[in-house]
Amino acid sequence: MKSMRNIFSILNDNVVVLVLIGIFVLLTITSPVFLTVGNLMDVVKQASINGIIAMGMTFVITTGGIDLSVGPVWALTGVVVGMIIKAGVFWPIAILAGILVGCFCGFLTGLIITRGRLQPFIATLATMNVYRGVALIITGGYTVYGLPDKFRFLGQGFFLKYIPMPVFVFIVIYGISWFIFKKQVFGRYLTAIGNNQEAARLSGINVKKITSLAYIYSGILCAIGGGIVATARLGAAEPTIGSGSELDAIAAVVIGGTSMSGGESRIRGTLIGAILLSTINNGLTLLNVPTYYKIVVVGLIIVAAMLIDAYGKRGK
Amino acid sequence: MKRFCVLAFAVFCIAGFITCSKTADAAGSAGQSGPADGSVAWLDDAVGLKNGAFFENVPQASKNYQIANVTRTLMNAHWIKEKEGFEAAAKYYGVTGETFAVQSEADITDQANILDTIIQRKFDAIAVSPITEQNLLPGLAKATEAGIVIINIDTAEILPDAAKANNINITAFIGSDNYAAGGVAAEYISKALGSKNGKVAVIEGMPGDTCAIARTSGFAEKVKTLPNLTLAASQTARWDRLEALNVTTSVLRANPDIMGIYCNNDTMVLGAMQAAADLGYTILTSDDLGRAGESKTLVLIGNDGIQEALDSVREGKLTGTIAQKPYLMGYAAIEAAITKLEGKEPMPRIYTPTMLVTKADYQ
Repeated sequence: MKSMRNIFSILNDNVVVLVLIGIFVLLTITSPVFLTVGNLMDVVKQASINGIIAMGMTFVITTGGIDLSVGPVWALTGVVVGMIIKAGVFWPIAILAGILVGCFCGFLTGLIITRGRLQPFIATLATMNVYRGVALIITGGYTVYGLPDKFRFLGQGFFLKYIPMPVFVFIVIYGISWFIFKKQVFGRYLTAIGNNQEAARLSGINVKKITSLAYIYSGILCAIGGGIVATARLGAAEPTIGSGSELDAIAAVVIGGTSMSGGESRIRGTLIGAILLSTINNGLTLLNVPTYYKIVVVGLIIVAAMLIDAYGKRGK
Repeated sequence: MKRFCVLAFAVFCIAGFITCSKTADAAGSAGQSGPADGSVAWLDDAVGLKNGAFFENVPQASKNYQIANVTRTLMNAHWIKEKEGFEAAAKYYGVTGETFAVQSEADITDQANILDTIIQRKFDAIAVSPITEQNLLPGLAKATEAGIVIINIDTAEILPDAAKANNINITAFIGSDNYAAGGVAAEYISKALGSKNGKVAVIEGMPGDTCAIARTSGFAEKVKTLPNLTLAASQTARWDRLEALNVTTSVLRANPDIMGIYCNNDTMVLGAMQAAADLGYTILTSDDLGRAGESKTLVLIGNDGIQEALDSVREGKLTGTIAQKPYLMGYAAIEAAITKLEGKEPMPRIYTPTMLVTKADYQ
């Protein structure tokens, strides 16, 4: 048993990778289509939007908070981008406006949490309703559609001919997130706040500012991943899109090994978590697992992944 | 931080201003447009009414009955049409029809509160479209106790078992025959393939939703009776456009020889359209339906007839959508209520017509 634990401790944060490899092997055996270039590209492409949003969520969760408003921010920024483009404005300006709206949403959420001293769960539960409501009001509930091809390229095109744009954006966002976390003092501040907010404050960290920035980053990534990439991918912006996306993002973060209680984060883990989730969904669809069973299986796989991860950590 | 705050706020205001000033346009163009751009005659409100009536033998209202319509939101063309039909019928029959809506489809408790208020106001009859199958059950039990006539419109449908268990007396259910709609989609694909055999798939709505279950099983059961079709995949995309795009992509990867797909609603069919385009499929229209069965072609059918889907059908990007008549649902609700209030029994299940709209209907 001790040697088992040693193996786990060597693998450390790579346990989720092992789970992922296990699922890959299983699916390769059971489905002839799974291990094809086209399908693997689908898996990564389908992980991209959730992955981008989950990167922002990782920042927030590291501070010990949570952001339930990601879906509505996605929808709101999406319809803002869509409506501005439909109004005949040059599309890059619309994108910029979308990012600014995302930024503002995150800023507002951060403000309520840091200045209003509300629990992040409650605060984002409230802003979640506000942002969704605003998205519905400005569109009157209608989908904004018929967006131009130049804009749609951001979700449907390819970077350097082979890399789908959503995947390219995902990689860039992952790179930036990794850089901020590992190479900038900001990342260490986030971890410090998550570990012990009071100690962080006493050691001279501007807790309110750093915490707010985490929510702003989350808002911006919702705008990029949802409002821009997802809208371009679908060629339309729906005010009701992204409901339930907060749970997907949180699942990716937690599967990746970031602690829900804050103070510990794994950017690469989130990347793998997002890919793991899309692999499961892709695999179960390929195998045509009946809907009701599919929901159960997805839940069980997440629990199994978490248990294996927890076991590995205890070994350490 | 302060400077940033001011800057962000300013930009937000500007962005807000731009979007708000354009709201009216977007809502207008996305709404149900008139017959100006060659729309389908069947979709006109009055089609389905004979001499101003949906039913035959609707009795004269002996007094000015107060009839409430507890609907979902008025941010969706479907419910707006339903409200218009409800109000037109109220006017026609000389009764008072009042519609109550909530802000968003997430406001399940608000809708229940509205119902409670209505019971206090002693309406004679209530037409309801509950947001979920459960949220109005307590209120409807109270309404039954108060002797108010209850008409269930469209969705969510309160099934007889649930009504009985909660002591609710529902006079009539009015809506589209969702089971039959699934069958219509299957028959259309089968006919398109003719003597050829082919695989088909269905993209399901939210797991457990009565409407999704009826449409899916209607399709699946019909496929079983059609010798040239085989059901290769049945997967949920939870009414979601992006999920439909992802799920349809995987379904087509696993079964590249699928010839036809039916989606439980139009939101999902629009996602499926993108998936088919990504993988290089040609979506057939009624013009080139003869090509059905060739490799890399697809007969793609949605359900509901929302404007974006109808536009896609007209432009030849989508094979068809099974359109509904929410106007008639609202209209028939008034008629069923009056019938009951005048001491007669309306039919317990009333189906308003549906129609598979294809490109041919636009020519």
